[in-house]
Amino acid sequence: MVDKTGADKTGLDDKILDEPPAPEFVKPKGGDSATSILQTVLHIARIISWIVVVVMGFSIAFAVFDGLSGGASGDKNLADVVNDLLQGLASVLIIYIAGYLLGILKTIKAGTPFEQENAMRLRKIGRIIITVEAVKWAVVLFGFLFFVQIETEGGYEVYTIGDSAMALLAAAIAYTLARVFEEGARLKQEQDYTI
Amino acid sequence: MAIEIKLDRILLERGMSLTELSEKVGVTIANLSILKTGKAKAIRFSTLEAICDVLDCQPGDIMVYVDDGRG
Repeated sequence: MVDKTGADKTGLDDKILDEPPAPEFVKPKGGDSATSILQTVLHIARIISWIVVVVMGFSIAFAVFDGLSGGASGDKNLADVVNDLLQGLASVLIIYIAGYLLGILKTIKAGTPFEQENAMRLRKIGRIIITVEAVKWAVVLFGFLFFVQIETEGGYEVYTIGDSAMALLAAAIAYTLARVFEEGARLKQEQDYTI
Repeated sequence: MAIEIKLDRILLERGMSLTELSEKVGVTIANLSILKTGKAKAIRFSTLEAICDVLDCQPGDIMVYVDDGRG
């Protein structure tokens, strides 16, 4: 009832909130088994990538130390060092992307995927892919120009324009999805504030 | 804001609380609070109809257009 001051009981009444949701609300579906499997796969990918980063780090450090100290494998390992660097870079890429994807999957499980935060995560994924791709090519060109003959060492033939095209396509997909999520978040807010 | 919600006033006139209205209309109290505080972006005809039915009023009694000089 309304009291003399005109104030009413507008607090979140437990009795009311304990009742089933109003019919206009769509119950979130939440995550399914595929979401859980994907989460497990991404966790494993992250762990493997961390191991690769550590191994590559040691490998590069050893090669640099060996080279500086005039070891027997000094010049011979330059292509390998650059390759290790690229593999380490790819692993860092996986660690970050898997982290962001795990964040998105967490919101899917919670039943609230259409958040601005997810749009930001996807945009970051796109940005990381482009950045890593640029760094990769910088490393390859640096190695090519100053140290290694591709024909003789054969260290870089796997890095082709086709790979970069795929990476750029992945970045474009991430940016497009970010826009979709942004629009989804806007519509979700619109729906939440429709009585 | 161009549309002002007068739910407070009409509830006071009818001697009804928001909780009571929420029970009778079948809309959660959280949603009614959103409407009452003017944060709502839209209102369904079905909700409006139910509110008008329970409060025995016209839509114009619940909301009024106020020229805020923006348009």
